[in-house]
Amino acid sequence: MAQVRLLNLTKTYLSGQVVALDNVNLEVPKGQFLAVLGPSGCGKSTLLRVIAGLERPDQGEIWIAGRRVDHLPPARRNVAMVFQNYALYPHFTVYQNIAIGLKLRGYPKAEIQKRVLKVARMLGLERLFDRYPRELSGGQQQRTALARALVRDPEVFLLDEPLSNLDAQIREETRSELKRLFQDLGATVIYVTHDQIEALTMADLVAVMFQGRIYQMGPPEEVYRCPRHRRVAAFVGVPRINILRGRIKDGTFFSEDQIVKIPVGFDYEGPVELGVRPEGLRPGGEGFKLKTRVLWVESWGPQKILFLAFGPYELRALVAADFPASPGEELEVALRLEEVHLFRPETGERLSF
Amino acid sequence: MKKIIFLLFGLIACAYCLFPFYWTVVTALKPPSKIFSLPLEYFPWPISLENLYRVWEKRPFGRYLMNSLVVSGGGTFLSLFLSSLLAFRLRYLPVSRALALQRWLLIASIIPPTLLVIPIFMAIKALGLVNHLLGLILSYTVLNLPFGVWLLYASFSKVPRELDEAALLDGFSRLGILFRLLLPLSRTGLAVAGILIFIFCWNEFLLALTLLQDQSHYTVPVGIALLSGASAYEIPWGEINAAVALTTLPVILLVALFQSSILEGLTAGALKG
Repeated sequence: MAQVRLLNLTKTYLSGQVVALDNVNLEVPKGQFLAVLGPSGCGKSTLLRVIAGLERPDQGEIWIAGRRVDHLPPARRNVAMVFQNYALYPHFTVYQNIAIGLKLRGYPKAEIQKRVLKVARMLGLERLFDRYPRELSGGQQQRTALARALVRDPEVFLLDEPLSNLDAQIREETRSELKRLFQDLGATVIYVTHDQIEALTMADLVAVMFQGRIYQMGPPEEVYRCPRHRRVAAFVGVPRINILRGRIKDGTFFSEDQIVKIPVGFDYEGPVELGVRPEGLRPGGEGFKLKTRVLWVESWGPQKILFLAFGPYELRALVAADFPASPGEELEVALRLEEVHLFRPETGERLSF
Repeated sequence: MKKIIFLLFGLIACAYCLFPFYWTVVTALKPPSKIFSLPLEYFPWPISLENLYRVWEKRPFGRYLMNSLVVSGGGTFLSLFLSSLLAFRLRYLPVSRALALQRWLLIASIIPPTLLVIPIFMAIKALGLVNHLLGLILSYTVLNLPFGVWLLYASFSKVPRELDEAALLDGFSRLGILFRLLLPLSRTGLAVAGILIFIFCWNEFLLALTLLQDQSHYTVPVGIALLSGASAYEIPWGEINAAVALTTLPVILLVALFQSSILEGLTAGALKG
């Protein structure tokens, strides 16, 4: 059964001029980690705030654990939220910060102590109980905020870019820690981020959002390998996907200026956009060969990105770091037809396969 | 060089402001016979405590002081309480509307109280609180509310909104957010508003004179103004100065003690308002 279910959720601001959520339907099964991915301003934070009860939707229903909650105040929805800037109470100690939610719900003191201690052990905070938030490092603050959410044992955790204020190195460590933690707890999580690495590595399910609408939701590999919309294809994946505009005639793709011809073998007539991921262009591989010339090379740790001139177009290809290539060189790259994505130019929807 | 000139001007300004107070203290410490003696004595010696003794023992000065404390304390407390409720409400308005209201509050807080003496008197009379300390407390609250709301709104604004939201999720009530989060976190603003309102109440004369008729209800400023000598032709300067010195001293100490936070609180308001 779905732990969180959103039905036709709509939220506008400034009396309808800004649409933050546009008829969103969403289901998160129990124990799943959903990452909501999108550029800033796409409505993903609003989505979280509406679920938490911090904003009232214009329309739609919110169900949490089989209970309709959209008329309940935030405290009675049994959700816990971790804010981007942690929102710790500066005049409370770490212990008080973690315990306050239980205290206000009238738990007995012994029970509070037991639960706070358990969560603090899990996160390595038990030595910091008497400190104030300003005396903690960024990572410790983040863990305190997390502990405050965990200690309440809510139906669903809502996390709003919890890693974005951390240094790159701690962020990566915390990323895998978080993932493991929630997996061990079997917790249902909705995690909002604009960082696709976070979304793809941590989540069981990824929902990609633009302009208040969910364009695609599915397991990370599916979102990456089979984007159902051009915007999803362009947003997910670094370096970006290559897109060529043109049309298909007799099973062959012609670019707009007729210079490029690729036999895609797809039964369709009309204008299309053809997308191929940078790692789908393999120098010396199997498949349809493209003759290109290397423009320049960016090294990228274990890999490097080749910028290739292909007719009037510029393509990006991802190759191993030890691949020998220098600007000016002719290079033949192969393209496997099953790795080609076709989109309708006018709507951006996926056409192929 | 620039620094020295700056310092010099500062010293002159200080002397200019503080000299009247110094002269009050000096006069209070002179025996009545020497107050008008020439040449002027800037450092009287020996000190005479006669004026202080007379103010304290022969006049109901203790009573005045008590009334002043009740009125100023009550007015300050009530102003702060109501201001914080109102400022809390403003916090949840859209910013543009809150700022528009803030502007009106500022305008309201610079209306001279003298202008409002008659309407306030009518209102207090209608409430049946003329010649009652509560009437004065209510008047002071009304006069200080715009300033209080203005200042507290600004200091609440320094607390991020996410804190309110986290608190809502944690199960705080609305008033819990105000009293357990915002007020403790806005201590500076609260102290500044408190001190400034207290000083206003402590010094206020015109309303106190208008609303209070019984001598037993007089506050210090009224009491001092109405100190009379043995005959209508004698003004007891020594006693007046002793009384003034006694009442001003606590205020000066209060401000000296909190001056850095007062400055901080007021400039925070200036930036946000």
